[in-house]
Amino acid sequence: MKSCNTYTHQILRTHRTGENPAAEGDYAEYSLDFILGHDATTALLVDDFYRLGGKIWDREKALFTADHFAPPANEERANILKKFLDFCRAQDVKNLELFTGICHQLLVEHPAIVPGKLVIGADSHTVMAGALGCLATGMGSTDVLSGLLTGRIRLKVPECFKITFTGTKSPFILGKDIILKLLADLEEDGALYRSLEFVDRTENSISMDSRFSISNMVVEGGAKAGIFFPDAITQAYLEEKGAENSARVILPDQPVYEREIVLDISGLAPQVAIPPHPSHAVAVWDVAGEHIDQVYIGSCTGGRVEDLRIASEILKGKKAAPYCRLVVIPSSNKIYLAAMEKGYIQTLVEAGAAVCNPSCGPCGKIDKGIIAEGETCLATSNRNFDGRMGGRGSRVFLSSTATAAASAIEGKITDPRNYF
Amino acid sequence: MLTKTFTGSAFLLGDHVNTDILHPPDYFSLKKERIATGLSKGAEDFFSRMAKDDIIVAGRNFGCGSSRESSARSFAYNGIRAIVAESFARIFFRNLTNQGIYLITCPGITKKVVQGEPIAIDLEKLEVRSGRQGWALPCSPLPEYIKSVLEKGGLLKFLEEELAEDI
Repeated sequence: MKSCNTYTHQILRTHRTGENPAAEGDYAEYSLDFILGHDATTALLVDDFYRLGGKIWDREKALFTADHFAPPANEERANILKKFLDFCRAQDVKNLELFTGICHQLLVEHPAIVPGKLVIGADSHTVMAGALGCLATGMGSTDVLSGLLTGRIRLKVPECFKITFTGTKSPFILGKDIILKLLADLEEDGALYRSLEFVDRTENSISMDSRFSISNMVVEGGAKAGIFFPDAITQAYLEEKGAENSARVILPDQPVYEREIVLDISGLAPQVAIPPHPSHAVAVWDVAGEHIDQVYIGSCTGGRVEDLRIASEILKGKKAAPYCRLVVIPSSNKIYLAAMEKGYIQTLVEAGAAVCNPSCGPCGKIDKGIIAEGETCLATSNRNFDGRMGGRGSRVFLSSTATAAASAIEGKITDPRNYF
Repeated sequence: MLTKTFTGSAFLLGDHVNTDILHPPDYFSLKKERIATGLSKGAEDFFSRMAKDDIIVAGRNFGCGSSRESSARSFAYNGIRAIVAESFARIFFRNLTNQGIYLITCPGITKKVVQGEPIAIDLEKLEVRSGRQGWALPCSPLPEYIKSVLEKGGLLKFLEEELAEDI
């Protein structure tokens, strides 16, 4: 192994259940601090969970959210949701969120999620909590089942990349542009099995909302985790959410990385990822003018207060182009309420947006906002695989909220700098 | 018991084949039949063109994307027991292993093998070889934990025994 003594390795070391360090290349057992499960993937593990004993190891240390079928739009989904809720009731879970937001957003809003924690979740975008300095990673239902039963999980120690952001961030650049650029540089599997450790050395600091978008999408490059080194921005967020500041964070002493990358974001152009992969990002002017049928502002990647603020600033007093549908879904109720208080939601509704309740929405062809065969959506979400949001031959381009809002006005992909 | 060899004809797939192609999200269900039907329905339905003893030989980053275990279960429900690839996406690797499916990483395989070529995966010699052309390529050894999960036939059975030992 080329990397050693990294922040990721420190977190693993403090959670190892056995005394011996993990053998290189093999899996070792670690104790978990927290587990995330949502309606869909949790329902899938219920039967096996009961067959194997059926008791959560620590009811305080799991968050369950109904966000995929929220509320359910057909009978099958209603049945899946019922199975999930029956399970939560029977287990008397302490943290249930029913239709209040997307699991990844609710996870980072939870006071238990602080730097240094080891977290798994039954969804690939669980990596988002890495923005708070956690080692958080996504798994399938059966791995999560084993974690829920035992409070432990087997993990392989990953190689680590250090990624330092430098320069000065322009006002039209969001975390989404930064991660799309990084994914393009790394290519589709450039971070496979790696843990990415982010250091923010920019002049004006990357906001917490933007950091969430960055960590959320590391899995699109194959990464196991995307962890920001805790700093003043992290501390301010933790204080604001009323987190206990009890995390044992040991910053690594002389870490060695497999690879070190410095990304100067000073001159970064707004990025757009061309289907069918999030790493196929180009500067917005390379695809400007591309016709779009829908703009989707939302998801766990692009529906936070910062996103809704920028969207409302751009769309203030303007309308979405004729025939260009504008769907807006805040990532959580907390964000929804904050955006209402600031008047962002009113501005977006006046601009023609259909605002839906916090939930996963059309991402993964789950809920309202699905597009037809041959249609194109510009989305602030995280995946643009073929048919991700609709029928065969439908396409999804990914961008920041700034680019999405500007594009909604023109009905085609548009450089947001025209609106700043 | 760990299976030592798999033989069949190579069925080639490309690089970065994602989970939405392998099992589209609208096939997410709690019903076994519905999950089974969804295999490869996101692309050109390659599974319907596979013969019973074909072995998928995929390129880089096979199974990138979602953690939905329904994708992994669709492979198990359709009787697929082993897959060879240049590399596997992380969550997909865990999910299929947990279903008792052998995922064999074999760098360079897609440059050697041709569509329909008979191949053998030999886990004792740690190689994948041609049944026709005489080439053999080393495959990556399976970590001990992965071997023990596969030996039990999947994570559920592994857990069942582990939990029994705890008591």
